[in-house]
Amino acid sequence: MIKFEIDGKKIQAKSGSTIIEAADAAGVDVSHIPRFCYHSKLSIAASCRMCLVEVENGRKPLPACATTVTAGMKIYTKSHQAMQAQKEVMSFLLINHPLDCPICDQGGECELQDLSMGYGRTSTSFIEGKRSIKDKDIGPLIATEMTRCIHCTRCVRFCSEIAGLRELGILGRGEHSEISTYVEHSMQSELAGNIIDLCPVGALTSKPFRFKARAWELRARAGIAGHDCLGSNINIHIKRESDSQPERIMRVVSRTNEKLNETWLSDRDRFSYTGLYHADRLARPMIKQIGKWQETDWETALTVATQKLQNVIAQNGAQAVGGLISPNSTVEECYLFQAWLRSLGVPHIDHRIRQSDFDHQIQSPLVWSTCKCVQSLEETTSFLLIGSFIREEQPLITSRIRKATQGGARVHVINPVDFDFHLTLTNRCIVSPWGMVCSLAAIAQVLFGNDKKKLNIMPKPIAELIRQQKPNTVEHDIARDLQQDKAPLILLGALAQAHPYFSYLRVLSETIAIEIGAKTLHLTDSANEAGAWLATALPHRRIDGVSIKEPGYNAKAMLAKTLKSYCLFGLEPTYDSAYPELARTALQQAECVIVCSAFKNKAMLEYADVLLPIATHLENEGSFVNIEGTRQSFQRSVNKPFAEARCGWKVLRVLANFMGRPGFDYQTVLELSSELSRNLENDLQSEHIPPVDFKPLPTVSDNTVWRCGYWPIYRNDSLVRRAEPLQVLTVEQDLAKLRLGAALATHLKVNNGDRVSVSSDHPDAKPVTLQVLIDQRIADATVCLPSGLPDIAINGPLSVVRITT
Amino acid sequence: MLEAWLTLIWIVIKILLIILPLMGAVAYLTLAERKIIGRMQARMGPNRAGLFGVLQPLADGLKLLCKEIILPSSANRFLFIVSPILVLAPALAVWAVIPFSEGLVLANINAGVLYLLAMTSLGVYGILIAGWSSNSKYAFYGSMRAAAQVISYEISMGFALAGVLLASGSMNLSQIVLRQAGGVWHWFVIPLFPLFFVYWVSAIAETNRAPFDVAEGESEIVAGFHVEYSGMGFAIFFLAEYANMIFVSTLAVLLFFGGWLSPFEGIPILGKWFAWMPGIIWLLAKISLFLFLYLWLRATFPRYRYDQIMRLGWKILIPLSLLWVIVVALFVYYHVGIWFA
Amino acid sequence: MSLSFAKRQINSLLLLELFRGLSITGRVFLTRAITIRYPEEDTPISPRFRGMLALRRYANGEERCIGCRLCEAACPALAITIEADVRSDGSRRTTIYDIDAFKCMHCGFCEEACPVDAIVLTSEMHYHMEARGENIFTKDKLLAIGDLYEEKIAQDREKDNA
Repeated sequence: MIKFEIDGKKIQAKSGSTIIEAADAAGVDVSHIPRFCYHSKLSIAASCRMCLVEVENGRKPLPACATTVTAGMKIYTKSHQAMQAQKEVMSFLLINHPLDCPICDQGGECELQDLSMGYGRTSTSFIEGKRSIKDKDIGPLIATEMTRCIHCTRCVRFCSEIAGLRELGILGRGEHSEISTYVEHSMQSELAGNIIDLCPVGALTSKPFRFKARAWELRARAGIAGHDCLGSNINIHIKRESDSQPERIMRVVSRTNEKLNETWLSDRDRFSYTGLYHADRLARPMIKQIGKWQETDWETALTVATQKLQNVIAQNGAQAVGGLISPNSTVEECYLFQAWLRSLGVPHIDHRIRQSDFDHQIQSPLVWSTCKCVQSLEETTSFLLIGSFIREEQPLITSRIRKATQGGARVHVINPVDFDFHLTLTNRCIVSPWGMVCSLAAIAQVLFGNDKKKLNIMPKPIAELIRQQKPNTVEHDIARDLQQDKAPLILLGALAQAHPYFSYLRVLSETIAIEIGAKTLHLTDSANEAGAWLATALPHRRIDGVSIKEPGYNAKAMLAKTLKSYCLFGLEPTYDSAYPELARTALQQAECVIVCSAFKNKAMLEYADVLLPIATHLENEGSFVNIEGTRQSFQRSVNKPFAEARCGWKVLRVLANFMGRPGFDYQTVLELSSELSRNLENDLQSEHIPPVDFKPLPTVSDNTVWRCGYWPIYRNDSLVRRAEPLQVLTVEQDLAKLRLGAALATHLKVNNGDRVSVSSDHPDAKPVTLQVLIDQRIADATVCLPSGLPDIAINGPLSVVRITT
Repeated sequence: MLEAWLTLIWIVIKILLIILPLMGAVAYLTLAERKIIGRMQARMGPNRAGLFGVLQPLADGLKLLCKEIILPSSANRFLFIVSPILVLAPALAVWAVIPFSEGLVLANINAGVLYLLAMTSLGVYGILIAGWSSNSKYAFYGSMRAAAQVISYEISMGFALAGVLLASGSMNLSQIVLRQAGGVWHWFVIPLFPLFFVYWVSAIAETNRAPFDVAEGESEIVAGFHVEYSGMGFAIFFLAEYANMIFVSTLAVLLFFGGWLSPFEGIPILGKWFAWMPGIIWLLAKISLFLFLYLWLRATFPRYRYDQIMRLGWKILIPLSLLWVIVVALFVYYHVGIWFA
Repeated sequence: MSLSFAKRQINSLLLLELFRGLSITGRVFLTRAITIRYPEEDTPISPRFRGMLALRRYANGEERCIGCRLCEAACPALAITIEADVRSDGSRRTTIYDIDAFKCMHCGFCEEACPVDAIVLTSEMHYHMEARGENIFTKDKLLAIGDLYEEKIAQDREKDNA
């Protein structure tokens, strides 16, 4: 610690910190140094010179952001010299800045505007013409007004340091310098939206929000982002009700939480709000009567839903009903959903709509992960990433890993596609989905393949698989690096979770983790997977954690077994399910399908009987449990969700009331939360867990082709799918093509642009015709065809597919 | 028989000759009031109906005639209808004994002043009944105030009149006027000035006019005793009030300002010049002067508080008038000056 | 003290204050009335008079308003409702600009707040509505008023500057 003085006040700071860091740490009571280019999360540029301060015995004012403090230093931030310097800098900055605050979206929340109140002159001595710069089109998310730019280069530094993609740079010098992408193109980074927050002036503003409202009209409410498992903290900005418009969510910005999202926010979380008022949004409850949809009031809709469901139960028993809930629902909703259905005697309850392999479910712990490892990601030095397009699945976790790699961390990847993560990868195993299991087994073999004792206590098929492997050099390298590292981290992504041999991957990764002393972390692609497990929206566990002897059907079986009735909550199974084909047929043949959803779609109108509108996570209340086990509660941001929509937990509660179930008398979501918390105190330690019955190894021939069907970043859930600016980006990516490697293309004798039919490996499967695109990044014996796209419904995102040319 | 009828008809004609001009005077007094007060407030007053608004009283009258007469449902119907008449009748009856010139009087009775005192006191019954029969708290408050005020000031007014009676030695109004003949300096106003003052203040209070109009008190009790009246009922109250104003002005002129006598009497040249002027002109001129004074006071002074009115009446005017009655008695006894020679 | 007491007593006895009052009304009685006969004559109004609201245009016909919403923020009566959006040419314009004439108290804060001199208060005070809903001055109406009064506004400003 170094002792020094700022404005006559004695303070202390860590040695090596800069004046501005020390001043900020001491708080505004001590001093506030004006700044534009300085940002605590970015490197130091010292280009704006706004933070000039006087240092005793200094010959001239020094930039506070680039000067480290020394012992005994006497700093004056408000002295005549400092103020004079800051004022002169300000007048230089304002030379070329247009006087268009009234039409600038930054007006009212602009750092330049704020500081010019304190440091600006009322007149200028600059009489020459102001410079103006052509605006750049950098995509559907960010509006540019480059004349306003003061060249602080925060955006440039952000792109290269945090987003990992050098998309913006400064061109030209002096008067001619400008921020540009050089070749005009949309920004590709999934974190690009952060430069809107970073820009201290109105040069970069939000395009969807453009001119829609002013900062002073908006009310900020804290919320939790609901599109990935990080649980980023957000502020939801709401415009009050006016004569011409109901209360509206106008935009979402990030809220600082150093443990999770720091000050950043992914574009998916930032712009998903644009889908809120899509034409598909359900405004009022709807019922289908004699094949025709009609809007109705809640009373009628709930009565109809109750009657239909009770009819099915009376005729076919509660066994004929299945409940599927979105893992993006809040913990409270998951809890009420299972409580409601279990009170009716329904055994089939699940939220794992994207999972294919449920063999391991009994052994899975109720609590997914309790290691608070998001913040420690930056200190981790070795990562093994299994089955994840992590940049799209978890943009902000990726940025943490990126920071770690900048510090020398090594990242090893086992993936079916060589996805671009915008970070340096040490080793890549780009293999087919089955190859992924084999690679992991190979790594295991390198680590303990000779130890017969260890292999003998493992499940037979897995031990057998490990024995079979012949590790190649990459697998050797990975295994050796993991072994040497102190605390490596094994990350299983959404592709691993959707894998038909997920139980293998899981057991292998856990065994490896124990062997090398690593931690494992499941990166689910939904907001509340962990919470849904805790709330036991599961077929095999009760809320008190006790296993059910004869578990109900899991999400896949429920759709495969074609039940009489389904209750869906917050789902669009034809997009969200790993089995969209199965889902469609199962739901269409069902007698009664009750859907609680914020949005409707064409398929839903065909299969559903009652549609109950619910709030999206931006309007909802409740809590999410993120992947590191942090439960974050949020309150309702708006006074009332869109139109007649209601918070999901209320809908479920009233459904239970209508069906005459006792004990559903919650008045507030807090009552529900506290009851849930009490139940969670029980755990499953005392329970005897039966051994897992693993499915046998597949027979893999030369002609077997696997599919990699990841969910693209902006097709992940119903809200994002309706966010138009984000969909523009999706369209640009041209996803609806069958991508395959050159080797497979030769084998199948297809060329770029040829049309081929693809279907899942099932005799009745309907084929989809698609264009071929040869892509070197795809593994052998693998085609890449994303899930969640319209009109492409193929069962099994990582299963075997048939291709007919 | 026929002669008796003729006498009766003659009397009716005489009554009409008094009452019709009186009604006209009342009508135009309202216009004069609005114009004069308007001017005193730097406004114009009514100027839309006819030239300078001369048709305004007719328009008002017509309007009041056409208006619905509203009977409050909980009012005492009989008394409610009778009370305006009870107010108007004495206001008209007093004119019977008023001499307009020498010999020009309907009933030249010797107890004229007593009759006047009796009649003016009767008017308050109408007000009381009106307020009571309306069955409305504001009306009731108004009539209570009016009654208290009239009774209080009647005493001092009585003493003022007693002073005049002492000075003139007669109760006949014509006699009183004639006792003041011989020039301005013979008028009773000079020796009896304090009594004139008491009389005039009491007169304003008796007629419930500003600044003693607590009985109406718009800002407190809406309109006082006649708050429930509309149309012609209201018009009659209005008529009576203005008729009373004219009457007390007339009485002031008769008692203190020499009635119909010319002010120039006894002045060498002027007296001769104005000798041809009929007495009634002088009378009307003097009455007009007092009516103007009425309006001037209304335009100038704010309303007294109720307790202030009572204090003024009981603590100042009554002692003052009592004292001066004694003084007058002494004047008469010792034949002071030209008035009591 | 005793002197002022005596003075007050004498004043009271001689009713001097009453006479002073009478003399005031008496004097006014003899002066000219200041009444202006309203429909035939108009009271003279200042060129700065704040009357009916209008939205102005530039000489080339382009509306001045840029939808910055400063007037909305400045309005103490919350009479102004604005919705802005991107116009087809990319500029910031209002889609809704409503002023509730019933709420407006003609304080002129909006005119003061306007950076482009778009919302102005004309010197027109004689305006009325004949149906429900007409109290809402829409953007079209305000622009039409602006077109109608453009000359008058210019005249008033010239007078004010002189």
